[in-house]
Amino acid sequence: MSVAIPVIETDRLILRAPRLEDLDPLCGFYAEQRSHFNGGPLARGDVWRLLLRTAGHWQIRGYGIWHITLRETGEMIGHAGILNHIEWPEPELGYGIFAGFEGKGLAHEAAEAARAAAAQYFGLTRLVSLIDPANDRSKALALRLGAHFEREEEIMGHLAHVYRHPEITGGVA
Amino acid sequence: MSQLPHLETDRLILSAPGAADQPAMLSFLGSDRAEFYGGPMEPVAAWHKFSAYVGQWVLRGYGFYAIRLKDSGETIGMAGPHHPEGFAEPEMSWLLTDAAYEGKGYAREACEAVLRDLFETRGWDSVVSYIDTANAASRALALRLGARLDETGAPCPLPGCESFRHFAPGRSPEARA
Repeated sequence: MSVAIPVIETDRLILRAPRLEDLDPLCGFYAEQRSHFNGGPLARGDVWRLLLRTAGHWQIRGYGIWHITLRETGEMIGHAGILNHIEWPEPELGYGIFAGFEGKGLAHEAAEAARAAAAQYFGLTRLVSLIDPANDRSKALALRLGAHFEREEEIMGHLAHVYRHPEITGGVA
Repeated sequence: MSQLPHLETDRLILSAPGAADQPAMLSFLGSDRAEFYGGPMEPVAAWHKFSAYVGQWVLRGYGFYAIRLKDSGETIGMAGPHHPEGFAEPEMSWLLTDAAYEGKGYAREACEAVLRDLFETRGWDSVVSYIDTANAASRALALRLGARLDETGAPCPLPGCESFRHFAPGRSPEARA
């Protein structure tokens, strides 16, 4: 029995399960240098394995990363959701938006919806975000979401700043 | 989302892998037994590899089945069609996680169930196995399963390996001639 992945809708976005057809847009994102905060740039075979792992994470953990699509066109524009790899200190609210879709509040809209869904569906009410100290954009978004700097953490030899999100109560998504 | 399949044999239950199989698979990937699976590797690398195996099921609709003993529920291996990006076709592969499970016919029992599923339920005509020339045990099992050395498909994408092909009943070149 596979895990049922809820579909999350916002004004402009639909967050849905990862799909095979997402490989090409993901390859576009990971071809660019700006993907280095997400482990990029990556060759196609590495992006394929990343896509597989994203799908596998849902099945193993019961929660995971949604792919963000535009409600109007269905185009994939990024990812948001909960990551908890075995090297992670605790489940993380992660997010990323492809180039060309920034500055419109879409990352904020997606991350806020994913955070609410994490509480509603999975009981994960007080998540952290693990942010590369040099990733100013991600840090700014964490602050706009109401998170605050809590501590530093070293993960696989990389320093991360741990931002703690406010507790989400009421479970409204 | 669709129901993932579930196969049963006399002694085994085969189903899509998940959290229950993680300890056995991470232990396998960390051991010398994983030499034909890119191992031995650290737990973090093993976790990422295992979660990719799990994810292939969801994205492709087929993949490695986890093999569990019917009696105890313990995970003893995996068998099924693995299909990396860049492979021209899916590749039937199998493993037992621990030497203690060898010599009991488990791998053969699991592979026969998987091949029946591929050929009878899913309607595949054939499936290839790429086997390292140094992997005598797998080569012997492939032959016992009825596979034969095959040069009809795309060139073997793995260095040091030979292509063996399993045919659905009645679908081998001789049967179709």
